[in-house]
Amino acid sequence: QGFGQNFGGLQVSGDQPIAIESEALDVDDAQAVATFTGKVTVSQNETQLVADRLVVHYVRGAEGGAKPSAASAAPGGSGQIERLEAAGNVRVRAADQLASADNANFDMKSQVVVMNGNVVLTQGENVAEGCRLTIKMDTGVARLESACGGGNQGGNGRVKMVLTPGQGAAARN
Amino acid sequence: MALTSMQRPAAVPAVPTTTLGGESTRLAREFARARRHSRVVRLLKLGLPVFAALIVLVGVGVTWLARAMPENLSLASAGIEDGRIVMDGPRIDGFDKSNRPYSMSAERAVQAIDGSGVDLEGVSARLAVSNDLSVDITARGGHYDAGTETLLLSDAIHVATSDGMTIELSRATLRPAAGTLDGEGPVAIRTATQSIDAGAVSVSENGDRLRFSGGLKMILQPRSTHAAGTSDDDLASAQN
Repeated sequence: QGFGQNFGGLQVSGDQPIAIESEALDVDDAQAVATFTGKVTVSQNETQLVADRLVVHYVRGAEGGAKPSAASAAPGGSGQIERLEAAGNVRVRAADQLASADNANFDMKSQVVVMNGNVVLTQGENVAEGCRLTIKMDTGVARLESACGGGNQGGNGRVKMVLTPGQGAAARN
Repeated sequence: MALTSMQRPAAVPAVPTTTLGGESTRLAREFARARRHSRVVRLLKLGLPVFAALIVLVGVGVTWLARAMPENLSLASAGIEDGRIVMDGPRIDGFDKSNRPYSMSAERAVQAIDGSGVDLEGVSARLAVSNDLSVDITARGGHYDAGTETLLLSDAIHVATSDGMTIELSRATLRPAAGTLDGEGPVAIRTATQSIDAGAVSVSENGDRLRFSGGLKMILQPRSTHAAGTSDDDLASAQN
């Protein structure tokens, strides 16, 4: 069962509270956008996302004109969030796995996370590098690519992976 | 028909045929009238300037009061207490720039010593955020400056919106006409599914734009558990 095949921890479960901390938050209810800035950390049980900036696109009052007030709509229950865009030193930590990249986009509808720009996936001692990491949040399946457009970004187009033998068991617990 | 020679315009005082006696009574009457006249003149000489000064004073007072008290102000009663105007139950109703109603009232308002507005006790204000959402703000103490239409709230402020959001903060500056609220001190916002704690908050565009700063911690409760309120973390206790 390959390393990094499933990035299990990243499931954003619907029935757990999410805690978000940052230095500031700007909510523009007219555009239905909430922007967290300054050491943003989003955590839910084991899963944690850290970034310099997090933009949350949420669904405003679905029933046509009725516009819920900014605060009650501002990234309401996870159900109301459409899309998250994290930018700047993005770290996603789940259980013993850590993925870091320049930015990450979470699409809550399709439950897919796309991290791109200097992607490094680490589990215990094992390290894999590429230019784009796509994670299916519901199944945890992760796919690391290294040939994404710009030649230099992904190095020579091959995924670089360092596996430290004998770590498998230790890393598992 | 002969012109009656005796006809003369009424304005000309009739010259009475006088006897010597009549002459003296007329003289006495004229003299009394003159004396009365001069007394009136003396009175006016004295009274007029005083009366004029009084008018000016009242004029100044009224304009100052009008400037300090906006025109849409209604009062239960007003009085003077140690030289400062005290109003009971003042209430201001107005419309903000997007024509939504706002109202502010207080149990008591005392003219501020520096004269730049009024100190309020037992303040309550209602702002319309959108056509179906309003915000009620109450505070124990405050200060209203009619010039800048700014309401400064300072003591035990509690804000509640009609859709169940409550905000606690220690100081707030409210400009209802401009639809803005700036709050400082630990700001705690609770809704059914969210809790936000921040250093400061500023609301503008009637609630369309919010800025939390000075450190923020937000907890989003998933929809399902909040109804049961069973989640055991502090949020549950903060809500009741």
